Amino acid sequence: MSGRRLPAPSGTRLDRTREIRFTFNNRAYSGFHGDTLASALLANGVQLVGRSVKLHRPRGIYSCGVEEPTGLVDVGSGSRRTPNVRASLLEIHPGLVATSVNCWPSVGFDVAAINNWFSAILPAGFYYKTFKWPNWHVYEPSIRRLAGFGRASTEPDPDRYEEIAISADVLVIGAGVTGVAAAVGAARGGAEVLLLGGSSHLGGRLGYQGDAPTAALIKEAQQLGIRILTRTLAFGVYDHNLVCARQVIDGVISQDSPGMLRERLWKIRARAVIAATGAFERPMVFPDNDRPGVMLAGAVEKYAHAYGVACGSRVVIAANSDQAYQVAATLRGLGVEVLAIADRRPDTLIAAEAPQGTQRFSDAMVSGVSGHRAVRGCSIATSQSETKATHFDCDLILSAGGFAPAVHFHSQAGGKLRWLDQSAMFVPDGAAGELYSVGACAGVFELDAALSHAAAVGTALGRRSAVPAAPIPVQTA
Amino acid sequence: MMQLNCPWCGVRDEPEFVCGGTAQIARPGVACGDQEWGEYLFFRENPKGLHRERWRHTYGCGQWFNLVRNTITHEIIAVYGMQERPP
Repeated sequence: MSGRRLPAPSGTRLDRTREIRFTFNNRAYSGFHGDTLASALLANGVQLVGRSVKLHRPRGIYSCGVEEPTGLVDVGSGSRRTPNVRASLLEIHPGLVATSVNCWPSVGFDVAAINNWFSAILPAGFYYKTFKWPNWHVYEPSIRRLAGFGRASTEPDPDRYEEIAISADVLVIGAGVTGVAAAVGAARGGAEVLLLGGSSHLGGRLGYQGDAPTAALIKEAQQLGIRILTRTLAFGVYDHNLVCARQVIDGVISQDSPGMLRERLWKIRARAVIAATGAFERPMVFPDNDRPGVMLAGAVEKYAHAYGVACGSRVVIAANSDQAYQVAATLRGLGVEVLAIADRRPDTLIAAEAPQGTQRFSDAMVSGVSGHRAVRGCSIATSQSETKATHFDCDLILSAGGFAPAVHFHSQAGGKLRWLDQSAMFVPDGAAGELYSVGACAGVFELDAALSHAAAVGTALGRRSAVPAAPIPVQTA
Repeated sequence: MMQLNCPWCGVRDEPEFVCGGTAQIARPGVACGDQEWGEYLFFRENPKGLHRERWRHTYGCGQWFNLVRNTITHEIIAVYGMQERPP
């Protein structure tokens, strides 16, 4: 119970005048219009949201987007029950009913958590048919019952789902700031542009931080007549530039009349595709890093800015990149105590300064986490003093492991990757047919460089001229 | 899903077409042996790369045509008529 709501101006995606009541695991909570289920639960101090699939270890919200691995819930009831919805993508609406998956009788007290005591004899890849004396069929029903995650509805779905096949001249996947810049560039170059954004808002990270140039760019995109689809998550690129995307229909989510349109499948055939899908945060590895209260650093920053949620009050950051220091400064500015940063790198490689009042450990890592259903503390050990670890009473551990470009579309389109030694990441090696990556998913993390490259790629595709390569080092080490 | 360019109807999506396998296989003479005849009937190349194949626009104009396709990238290199020589 450590998360809390931050005062405005934090929470740029919220409408604090519209309170929304919802139910999670049979308890009533409230959030604001614009909240996702994940942000609303964190704001209400709910940390434990699910259980792991085999050992039933407690799990909490880990990220703030499509990459959410643990915050899975069943949504709705009766014929509308939808299993395994990512809480970080689900916008709350009045009357929302969500329940944890994979636990019985409740997420707090889960009988199958007893599995965790036998984790040593149930290793990964354990063959369950080892239970064969006197007969496998004696054990089968109970083992089968333990398998799987959420429960699907057994009644027919009363709602409507539709499918649209269209063609587009230039299709931009990702409505972060580089995606918008690429779309504007293509529209200026004379192309008809379709822009897909997975969330309800444009502009990505800079958008919810209230960045003025980003807002101006979004306005320009709207004025140029770019077709923009929000809440539309592209999930695959197929032969000859066919992109499929799933759109969640806005506004009708809260209605209860049967036969309403819930989702739309878009099959978009594009002459050229620009992928601006950004990058995923890399998790840091340490013992018990799956405890509720261990989260990605960038996600916590997003919860603070966009949803006005402080995910904890006493924070320790496990890091191997300078991102940790920037997140620490942000959290400090919002009144969240950052106790320590455990940086995996030696002193000489760390350029950034820890903010005042934050202890910095170099050549160090989180060596242990205390607390079972929530983080209660952690210890930090440096490689010089393996024996005496420093203990901190904290309720939130952040993982700032740097970024990995989201090259999935590039790879699915048949593109090759190459390793960039300087930034320790795989980046697209050129274009994949008529699919071009821009911004962070092309390995360009410098904002100005990413924006100008994205705009140039868009303009070139609009004018059907040669597309410039990404401004990253060509030589691999 | 690929897009094929029907010489009569223009560019359409793959589900409208049916693939008729390798194009323009020379039929051996009547005097050939069982072995050769069997190979003509049943044995086909499965190339990694360029492949000449017949397609029919079944759910459109119903016409047959040939094309050269890269089996790795699914790039269509050429579309040509049934009686034309491959480019």
